[in-house]
Amino acid sequence: MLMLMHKPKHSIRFTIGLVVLLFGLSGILLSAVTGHIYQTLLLDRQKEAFKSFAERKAGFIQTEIVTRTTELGLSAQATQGFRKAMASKDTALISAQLDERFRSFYVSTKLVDLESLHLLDLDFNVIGRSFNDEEHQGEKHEGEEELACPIFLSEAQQRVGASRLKVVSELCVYEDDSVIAVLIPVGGIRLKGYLLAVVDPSHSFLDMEVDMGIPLVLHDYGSGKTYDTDSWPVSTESDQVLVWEYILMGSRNIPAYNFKFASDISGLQAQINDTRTLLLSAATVVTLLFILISLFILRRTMLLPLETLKKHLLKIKKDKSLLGKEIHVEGNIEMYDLAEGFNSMSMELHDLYGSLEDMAFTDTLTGLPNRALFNDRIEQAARNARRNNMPYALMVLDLNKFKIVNDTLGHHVGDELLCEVAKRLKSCVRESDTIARIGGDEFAVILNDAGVQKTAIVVAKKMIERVGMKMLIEGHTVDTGISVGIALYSKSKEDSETLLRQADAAMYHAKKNDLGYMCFSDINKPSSLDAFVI
Amino acid sequence: MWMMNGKRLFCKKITIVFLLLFCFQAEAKQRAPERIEGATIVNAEELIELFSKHENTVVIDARLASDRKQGYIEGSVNLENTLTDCNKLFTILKTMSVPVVFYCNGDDCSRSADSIKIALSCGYNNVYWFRGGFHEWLLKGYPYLRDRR
Repeated sequence: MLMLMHKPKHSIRFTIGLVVLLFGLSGILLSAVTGHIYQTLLLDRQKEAFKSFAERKAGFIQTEIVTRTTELGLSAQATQGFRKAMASKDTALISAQLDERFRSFYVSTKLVDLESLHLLDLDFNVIGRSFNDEEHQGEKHEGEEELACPIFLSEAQQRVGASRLKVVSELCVYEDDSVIAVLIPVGGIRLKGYLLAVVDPSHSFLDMEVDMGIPLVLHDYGSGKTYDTDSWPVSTESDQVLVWEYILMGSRNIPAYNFKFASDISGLQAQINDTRTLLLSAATVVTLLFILISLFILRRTMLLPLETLKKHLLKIKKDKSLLGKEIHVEGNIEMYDLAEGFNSMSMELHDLYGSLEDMAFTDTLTGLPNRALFNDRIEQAARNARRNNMPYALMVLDLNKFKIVNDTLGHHVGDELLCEVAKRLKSCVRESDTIARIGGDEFAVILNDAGVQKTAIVVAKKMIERVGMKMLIEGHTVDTGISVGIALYSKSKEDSETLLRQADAAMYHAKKNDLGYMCFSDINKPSSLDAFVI
Repeated sequence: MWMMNGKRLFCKKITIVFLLLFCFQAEAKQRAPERIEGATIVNAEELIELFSKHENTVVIDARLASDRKQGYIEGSVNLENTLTDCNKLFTILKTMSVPVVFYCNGDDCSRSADSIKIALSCGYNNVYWFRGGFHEWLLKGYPYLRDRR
């Protein structure tokens, strides 16, 4: 199962950092897009504002032209010469009077760019004419003469009642020109006719460039003429120049003029760029701050607890004794639950490990350490003796007549006997000593800190005495005994196996000769042997 | 003592203010009457209509010559109310039944009303009063003349 798992390439810290970074980058990107939209909207609004301003300005100029032309027309009627000419109904005289108008204040100062003047009778027949263009002046017209803005005139002719006395005007695209036609009543209450003044507003519109302070290119849809000025920028492609157009509609919704302005918006652009930079900087700073705060919080609540758990796990891997030791982490609920789970699992493993250890190193019948643990302990005792100069004694014990008990009274009595013997043997040694069952009816004892033979003999005698006492097992009186072989540690025979073999040999010797106990060092001393015979 | 002087001065000032107010009110009261018995009130359009029906209609401008210089209805005759009497009227209006229209500056001007009363007393019986006067004429955008100096 473990073999199938691949180690991931990235840490949780990296993944969280990446997510937060992506989140932050999207925030910055959003700010940049918002900035761009804001700029576009602002420029659109600017264009609309300019257009609205130009529209009002053009309207004002038209009103001014009509007012001035009306004054020009009415002032003509106040002269005696005009009245006489009207009374004579002589076209030449009337036309001469009209010619005079071209020398009037408004025309000579170019406030009104008057193209032509026609005097019409009540039926709209021409009874006098005058033109700005000298070629036309004094021209005689025969038959029906075509006047500017015929639809406008026809509509004016259809008026009835008092409205006929009102001044009417219209911006119309006529033949090859866009003009303002102004129809002024002549004769006051005693209406005698009309004065039709045709004015070219182009130059007045061109003055908007000065008024508004913005370079202008004016296109006359009627004549197809385009008026431009030197102030028009060389390049309008740059983002520092905002080009916008406004179309002035004439009567009957026919386009009359096109105003094309080029505003210098370098100041505005700089302001927008400054704002955008500020916005992006603020977004970046806020994002970075957000990332730092997020990482700090995540570190406190997730990364550190996980790190602690991981470290503890590695420690346990090296040292199993740490199993069952509780670990405390700070963090979120999930982290707390994880640590709880970890602690509970660790405790279970600790218990399991302990029982497994017990099973591996304990003799299940007597509860004494088994041969494996005994081997371990003997190694330990040997090490201890070497390092701390603390010699020890090794005893091997064999139960007498066990086979007979087993065969005659049964295995279960034999087992009980072994348990009783183990109990009695245990009572003869200290806690620090080790007594183990190393075979069927064979026991072994390590006596720590027992450098002299005498100590071991005392213990051996005690054991022989206690085991030799009668035992009542399941209604049977069992009489048995033990044979003990003793071997003492010495620097010349450090090897524990050798020591064990020696103790074993001593035990056989004791058993064979029915000596009770025997020290290995005494095997070859016949005198000594005799002394120990029980 | 000073207080007494102050009070007296204050009373004087109040009296002067009231007197002045009274004078202005007297001036303001010289508004044209709502109507004049024997005269027909017309507006600008009715005046134009009257002319289209009766070509011999006479329009008399009852204002001062200085007012007339600012502009007047073309075809009107200037005869100040203060100079108006039966003889002067007779030189302009040959018959008692000729339609005659009087006007002055507007609602706040009583000169045309004065002239109308004189004309009625002289026996003219086809009298019209353009009560809105030159103010209404200008407001409605009808053409007017201004004599060149």
